[in-house]
Amino acid sequence: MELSSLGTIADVRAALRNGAGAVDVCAEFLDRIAARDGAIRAFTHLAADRALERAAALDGRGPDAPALPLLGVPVAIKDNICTRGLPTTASSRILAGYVPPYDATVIERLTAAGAVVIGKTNCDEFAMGSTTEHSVRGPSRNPWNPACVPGGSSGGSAAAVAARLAPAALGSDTGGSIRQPAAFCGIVGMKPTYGRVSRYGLLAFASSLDQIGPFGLTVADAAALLQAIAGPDPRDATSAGAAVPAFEEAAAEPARNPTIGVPWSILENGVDAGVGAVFTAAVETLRGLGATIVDVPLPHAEYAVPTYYIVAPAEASSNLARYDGVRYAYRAPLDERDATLDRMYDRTRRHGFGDEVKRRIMLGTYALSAGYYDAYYLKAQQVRTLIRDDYDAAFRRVDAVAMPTTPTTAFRIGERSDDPLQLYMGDVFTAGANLTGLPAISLPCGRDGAGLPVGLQLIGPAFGEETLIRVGAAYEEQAPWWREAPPAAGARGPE
Amino acid sequence: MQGLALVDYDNLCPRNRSELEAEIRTSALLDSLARASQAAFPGLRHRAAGPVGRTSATIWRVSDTLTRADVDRIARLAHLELTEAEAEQFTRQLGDILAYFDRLNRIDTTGVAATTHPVTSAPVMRDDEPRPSMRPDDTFANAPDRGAERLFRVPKVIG
Repeated sequence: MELSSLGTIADVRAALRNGAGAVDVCAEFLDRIAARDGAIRAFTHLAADRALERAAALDGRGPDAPALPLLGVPVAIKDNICTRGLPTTASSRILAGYVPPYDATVIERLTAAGAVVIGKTNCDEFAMGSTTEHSVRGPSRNPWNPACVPGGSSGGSAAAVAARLAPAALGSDTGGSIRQPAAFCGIVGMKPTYGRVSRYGLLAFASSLDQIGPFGLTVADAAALLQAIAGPDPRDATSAGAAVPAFEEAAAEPARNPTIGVPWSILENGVDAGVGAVFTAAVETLRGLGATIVDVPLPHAEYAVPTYYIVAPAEASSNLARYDGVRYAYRAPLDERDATLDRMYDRTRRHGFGDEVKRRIMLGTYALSAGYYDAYYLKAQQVRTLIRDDYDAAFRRVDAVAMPTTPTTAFRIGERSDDPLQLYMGDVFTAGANLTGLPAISLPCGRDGAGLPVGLQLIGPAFGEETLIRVGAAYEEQAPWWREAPPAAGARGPE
Repeated sequence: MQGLALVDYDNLCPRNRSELEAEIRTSALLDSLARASQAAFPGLRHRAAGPVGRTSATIWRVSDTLTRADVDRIARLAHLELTEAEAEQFTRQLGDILAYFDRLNRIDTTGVAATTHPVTSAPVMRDDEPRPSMRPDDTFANAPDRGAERLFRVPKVIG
C-alpha cells in the first residue's frame, strides 16, 4: 500500500505489516497536515518532533515486544483533553500558555496501546458551541466546503479525520459535540455511555454530561479507539466498573436482525427536507438489511434543548469558577494602584472568556441563583428524568433508536453566530443522549442537495455500545459512505 | 416573561434563603407582589419587609422580563466584568433564551424525582493510604504570578 493512500486505522495496520515504519506513517500524516491544514485549520498545536520521536521509539522495539492494538496510529486530540508537556487551552484565552503537568487517562491509555499523539485540535471555547466559531483561534473549516462550519465543539478533530489529516481523533461530547461535527464532516463519531470512559484530565464543562469519545472514518476504527480508552479508572469516581466488551470484534460481526425504533413524530417539524430524505432512505437501508423498524414515541424528546441549556450552563458556571487568574495561565493586567482581588478575578474573566462562555456562565448562574433554582434547575432535572423514562420504555421494545444526528447539514461560517438560541436548537437530537447518559453514534448516511454530509444517529441502552457498533457496522457494510473523501482530502483517487 | 417562579422557602439552602430575604426586603415590587399573590391565592402567606423569622412561607415572585439589573446582579455573582455593550446584549439574548425555557412549564412534573446524574452508583471508597501527589514545581508551573517563591501571589485582599 502506498502511504499516500492511508486512510483508516486498518490501513495503518496493513502498512506496518507490510514493512512501513511508524515513523513513515507519522511523517506521511505530518506532511499532509503541513500541506493542507492551512485551509482547514483543524489543528491548534502540532507535536511533530515529539510524535516522530515516539514513532521512532515504537519502531525500535525488539521483535519480542508485545503486540499493540494501535501501534503507530497517529491520533489527533481535542484541545480540552490534558496532554502532559503539550499546550491544552480549550481554545480559550484564559488558558493561553497552559501546559498540563499530567496526561488525561485517555492519553495514558492511547499511549499504552501504541498510538502516537500528533497534535491538538481546535474546538469551541471550553467545548461550548457547535461550530468552532467560539474559538480564540478562529473557526476550523468543513473539508466538504471550506465556507461552512465543521460543526462543534470537537470540530477540529472531526475535520482532521474527514480531511485524512489523521486516521483517528478524540473529542468530547456534552450535548452532541462529537456526533454533530462527525455528521457535518461525514465521519463516524461516538459518545460512549456516561462512565464508560474516564473523564480524568478532561477540562470539565458539565460534569454530569461530559464524556470523551472517538472519531474514525469507519465504525471499526471508532470501536478500536473506544476499546483502548474504555474502562474504570480510580481517578474518576464516576467511571463505571462495567466490563468492557470486545468492541473491535463486535465491529466484525454486523447485526443481522435488529429492532430499530424511530421517533417519527419528533421528526415531523424542524428537520430540513434534505436531511429528512437522506435519513428516511437510511432507515430503508436498515430495513433492507433485515432490521425491524418500529415507531417509538419519545414524548419528552422535544424538551431536550431547554432542559440541556439549563443543566449544562448551571454545571459549567460552577466548573469554570476555577479560572480566576490565580492558578492557571492567564491573568488580566491590572493597575497596581487599584488592584484588588475581586477586580483581578472580574477582569481576568472578562478578558479571558469569550462571548459564548460568558453567556453560559451567566445563564447557569441565573438558573442557580436565589429564587430561580426551583423554577429552572430543579424543573430541568425533573424533565431529565422524564426524558430518560421515555428511552427506558423504548429499550424494552427495541435494540437501538435511530434519528438524524442534526436537523440540518453544515451551515456557512458566520450565518448563525449572532443567534445563540438558534444554534442551541440544533442540539435537539443530540442532547438527549447526554441528559440520559446513553451511548450514541453518528454515521455518515449520505449527502444533501448541496453535497454536504448527513449523519445517522443510533442511540443505545446504557452500556450498549456493542449493539450500536454491530448495527452501525451492518449499515456501513451496505452503505460505505466513508469511502467518499471530501475535496479537502486531496485528489488521491478512491480509497 | 419569566412567568411566576414558585419558591419553596423551606427547601432553600440557608444561603439562598438569606439572599432571598435580603432581596425581598429591598424589593420595590413587594407591595404589589403581596397584593397580587394574596388575591390569587387567599391562603398564601408571604414574606413581608423587615426581619424574617423562622416561619414556613411560600413566595411568589413576579417579573416581566430579564432586566438589566438582573444581568448586573448575575455578573457580580459570576465574577464577570461586563462592558456596557455586553450587558445590553446579554439582557436581550438571555431574556430570549429564558423565555424559550418557559415551555418546560407545559410539563407537569409533580412528584417526578430529579435526575442529578445519569448513573446512580454507590459512593466510591478507597483506602486512605499516603501516596505521592503532584510535585510542587509542577503545581506552580502554570501560575500567572508565583513571585520569587513557590506560591500563588494575588493582589492585596485586606485593606
